[in-house]
Amino acid sequence: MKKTILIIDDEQSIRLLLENFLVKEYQVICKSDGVQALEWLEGNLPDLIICDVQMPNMDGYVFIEKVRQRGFTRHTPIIMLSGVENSKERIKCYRLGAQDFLAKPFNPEELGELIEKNLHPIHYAIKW
Amino acid sequence: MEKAIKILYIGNSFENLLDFQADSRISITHRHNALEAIRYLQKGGSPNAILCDMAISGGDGLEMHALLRKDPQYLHIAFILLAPEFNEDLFKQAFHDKVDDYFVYPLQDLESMLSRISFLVEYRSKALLPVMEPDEQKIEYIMPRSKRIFDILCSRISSSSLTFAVSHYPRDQA
Repeated sequence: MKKTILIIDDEQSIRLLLENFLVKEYQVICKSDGVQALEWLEGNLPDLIICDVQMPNMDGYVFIEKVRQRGFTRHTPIIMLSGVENSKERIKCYRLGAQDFLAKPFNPEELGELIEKNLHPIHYAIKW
Repeated sequence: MEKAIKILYIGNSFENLLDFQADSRISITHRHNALEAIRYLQKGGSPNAILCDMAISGGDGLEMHALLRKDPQYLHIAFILLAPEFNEDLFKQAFHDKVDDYFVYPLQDLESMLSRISFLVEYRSKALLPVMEPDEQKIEYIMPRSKRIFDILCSRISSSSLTFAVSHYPRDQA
């Protein structure tokens, strides 16, 4: 059974890019903001979440906090995407509970590796 | 002043919820088992959320949840299951049964729990609102008089020009 990845990004082009890139291997669910995503999460359980930092209605920081407050998604891996590349932003995301951080524009292959690493951590280690 | 969030705790680990009891924003009622909890609800107790231990006498947390969800008058109450340790099967079963959330002792900090409970309370009340279908608006199109006159004139001109063209069409070319 395919693993489910939830993508949250307000930019449609990014959502489409990620969906096209990931749809062969994963079941991909796209949402355009954190509020929509949280409502979806009340009835669904993804294996991994990819989330933009800068979004309308609810930004990525608040979204991670809310996801970590939920018992069901407390340990769900989160990869953050951001247009701002600096260590402060990365540290903030890590402290809130994100597993990884990728600055835009990014290489989809790198994202693919991060997804693999987070979905199958032991398997990924064995490959080395 | 009435407290913002009313919680019913069912179980025997109340020592884990002392922070809740001390907070002025929360009113917490403690019942030890399912029977006591049902009696409390039937007597008019109206909590916003129920925190229920998985292991309770006279049943378990999942049974309590199933019992509660059978009665429509309790559908608005958020139900959070509490367990002493993480159990993957229970985690999956709780999610499958649509329990609102599942936490393992010790609970996370009070502010996070309160934020989560507030979200669930709001979410459940929103989810229970009947979906109002907007009335179908019957829009009757009324053609403006000016357009009607324009159409008549155009049709007259085109028919007369067609008649003219046919009458002047050279017969030998036909």
